[in-house]
Amino acid sequence: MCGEIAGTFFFFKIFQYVLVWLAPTTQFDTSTALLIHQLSSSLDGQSWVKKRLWDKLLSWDAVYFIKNMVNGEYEFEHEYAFSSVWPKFVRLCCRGNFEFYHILKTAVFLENLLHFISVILLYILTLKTFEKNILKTHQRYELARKSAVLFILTGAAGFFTGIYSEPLSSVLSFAGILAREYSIFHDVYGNVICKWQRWPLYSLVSTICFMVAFANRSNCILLGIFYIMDLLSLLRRRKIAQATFFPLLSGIALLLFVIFQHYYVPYKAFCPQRGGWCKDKIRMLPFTYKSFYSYIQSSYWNVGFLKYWTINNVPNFIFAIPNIVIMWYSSVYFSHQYPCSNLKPLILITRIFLVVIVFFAHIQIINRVSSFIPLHLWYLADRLIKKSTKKTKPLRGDDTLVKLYIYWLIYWIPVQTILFACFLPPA
Amino acid sequence: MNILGIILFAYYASLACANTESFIIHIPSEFPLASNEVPEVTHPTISLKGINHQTKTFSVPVDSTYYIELKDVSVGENYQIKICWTALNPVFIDETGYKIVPHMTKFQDTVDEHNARIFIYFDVIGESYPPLKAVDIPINVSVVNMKLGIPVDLYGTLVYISLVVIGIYFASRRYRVYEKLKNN
Repeated sequence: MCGEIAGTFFFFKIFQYVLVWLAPTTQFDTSTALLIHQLSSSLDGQSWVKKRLWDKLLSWDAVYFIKNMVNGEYEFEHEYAFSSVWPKFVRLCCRGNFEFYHILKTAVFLENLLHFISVILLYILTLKTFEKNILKTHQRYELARKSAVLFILTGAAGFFTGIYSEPLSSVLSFAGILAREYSIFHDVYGNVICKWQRWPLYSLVSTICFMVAFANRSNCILLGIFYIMDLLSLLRRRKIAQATFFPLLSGIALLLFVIFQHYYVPYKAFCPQRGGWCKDKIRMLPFTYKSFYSYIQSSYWNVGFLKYWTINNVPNFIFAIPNIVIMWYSSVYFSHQYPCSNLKPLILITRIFLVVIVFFAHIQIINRVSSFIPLHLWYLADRLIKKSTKKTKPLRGDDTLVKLYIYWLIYWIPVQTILFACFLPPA
Repeated sequence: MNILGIILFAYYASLACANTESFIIHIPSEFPLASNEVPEVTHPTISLKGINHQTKTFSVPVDSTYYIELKDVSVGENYQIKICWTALNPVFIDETGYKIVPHMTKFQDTVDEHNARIFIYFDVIGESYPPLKAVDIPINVSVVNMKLGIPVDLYGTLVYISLVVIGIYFASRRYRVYEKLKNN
């Protein structure tokens, strides 16, 4: 099975890199040459291969990642919006050779490796998640295989050929969810029961995975909902000891890490000399009321409630519609048509994520940042399995939606890969 | 393909792309062609002599207005002016536009006695904390002739995307990815 998934992955990536290779070298945004001139030493030289392939992978936010990978530190406050975990990880793997193209090639290799690891983790996570559900064993394996293939054919498309931080978050998110799944079980009423002998898996492994996933991509803060829901479930049944040592402990650790990362670290770096957002200090504490991340997102990228709802952004909403619809329907599907008690936290995470993306963020980013949530992949895979067993019936409802989504992917993935290589929107 | 191109370009033109600002200028048909006199070089220039698009890198002072003279443009044509800078240098571009200066007219203490001149201009404003230390930053300015409402440098990309889409259409009819995903 792993071989088949690896084969699909390899074939798909080759296809994408061929598209990048064949894309015209004249990019819409011509600033990549300036970036390379500024960051790369004169010894690097320019070759045909660099121009045809490597340089094209430096579009959009890749600029911030490569800058941090080369310099090893932030220079300006708005750069804090981009993960420092991912550049540090790449630098670690560069083993002291910080030549520009060596860093770029290492990062691209790691990006693909992490994507592949996340595909395998998703396969295992699917098997584990649906272990106690109504699927028969062969259907469970089928669901895992289809989910893995669908995650290879991700809507994030071109971004995963470059040096973006999302695949690292996918790995950490899936690993964290998997660790939690292994350390709990659900009774017949759907209540969570924690296994004491697996405490380290829950309170250490899953917590550390979620923390690093959050440090890498802030939207992974939503993974904390797993702990909130587990806590409520345990408290309802007065399982105080389990509630304290499992979700409460993990939740507090995650919360403290969020405060450290988004409040304390920037405060220490910039305040009080920065003025502005530093002035809203909480009494004697080295924190401000406003999250630093929210401040920079709002100031530098105009992120905020309904700020993106303008006429010129209509095309970006259109680009986002397929994933919005499929994610929303997946949450409805696993709530009503195929209710699974162990999917409740993920359903809530998906819904809150959609609200945040639709009303607060640059909506088109849903195509790549949704990659830390597996719910919609399970929805697609499950409908594909169910449809394959009812071949004679015409497509209706969910199945039509799934078919349209797959057709969208077939066209979107190559087109978006080319747009990315040509430094064209959507970003 | 033209319709696809126009739609795409309308989308890109309406977007404030992260590190690209663009605007379109029209060279009026009554704009006088260059005289035989050798034009004076008073400002940074971009020439389109014998070509239909050109990109040049300029070292532009931060927090100032920068002027570039366009040379050898054709009358009655539209040109896309594209200003690109790298996100390594946190600035934003403001107050973009163009100015036609008739001959014998003083502009920024310069006069061309024989030729009318076209200048494009833009403001480069530093936007960061801590403030950008660099006095000058490199900026790419492109002047691209537009045909059928599309900048000519986008044609290659549009043709490539169109060919890939057509290829996928035929490949998906033959290999039926949805059916394969469903049944395999």
